[in-house]
Amino acid sequence: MENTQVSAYVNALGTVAAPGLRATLASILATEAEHMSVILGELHEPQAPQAVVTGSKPT
Amino acid sequence: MTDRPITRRRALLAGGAAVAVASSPGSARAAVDKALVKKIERRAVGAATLDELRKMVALEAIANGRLLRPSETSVVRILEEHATQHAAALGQLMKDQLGTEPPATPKRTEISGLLGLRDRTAALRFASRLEGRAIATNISGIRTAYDSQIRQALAGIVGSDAQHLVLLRQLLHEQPVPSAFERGAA
Repeated sequence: MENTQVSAYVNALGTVAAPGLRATLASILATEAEHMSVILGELHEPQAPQAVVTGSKPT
Repeated sequence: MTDRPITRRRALLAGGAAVAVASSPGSARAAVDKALVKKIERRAVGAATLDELRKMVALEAIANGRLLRPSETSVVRILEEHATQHAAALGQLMKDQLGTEPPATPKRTEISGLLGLRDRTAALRFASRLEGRAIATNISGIRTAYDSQIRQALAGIVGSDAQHLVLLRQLLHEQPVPSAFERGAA
């Protein structure tokens, strides 16, 4: 779910016109990426597996 | 009340003129706007690139500085590798899309506070501050950039830098996600 949300925020940042809203969305994206990292740690997986975090689209 | 139609007419004329100026491909206005947009984007991506280059140099110095435990050094090496990839990607973006060279890589002596680090806690806190600063710079770039590809490139890096912050906070035994809005620190 966190992964899908990150993807949705990255896509939204490409389309949203309002600068202030983009900044807020980016700060939420960052928090979602942090959640992913914590969850990966609990799963004993690498917590920062990629240099670029774009999430994955829902299947 | 009597002058309302005149005002409307004037507004329509002014609006029509503005549309004509804006939509004319060769107009001076359009050229100025385009140049201004490029300038803003060069500044935003240039600042983000410089932050990543600064991190790359500082993290390498910290990893080589023998202040950290082996497991901590391994983590910092991963962060350094990611910062290198971020700087390379942003530098390429500057060349390809913004038609300008990326900023030069700073020397260790140019990174304030780096050479004065004396213990592992100070080194990890320093790395954490650099990650926070990079996040703030990238979010500022997302706010100001007009090009959606640039914004999305910066967004991917924001996510990565945020994960770096989690790793560093955990090494420092701090709350890994202290806020619902990660804005970094200017």
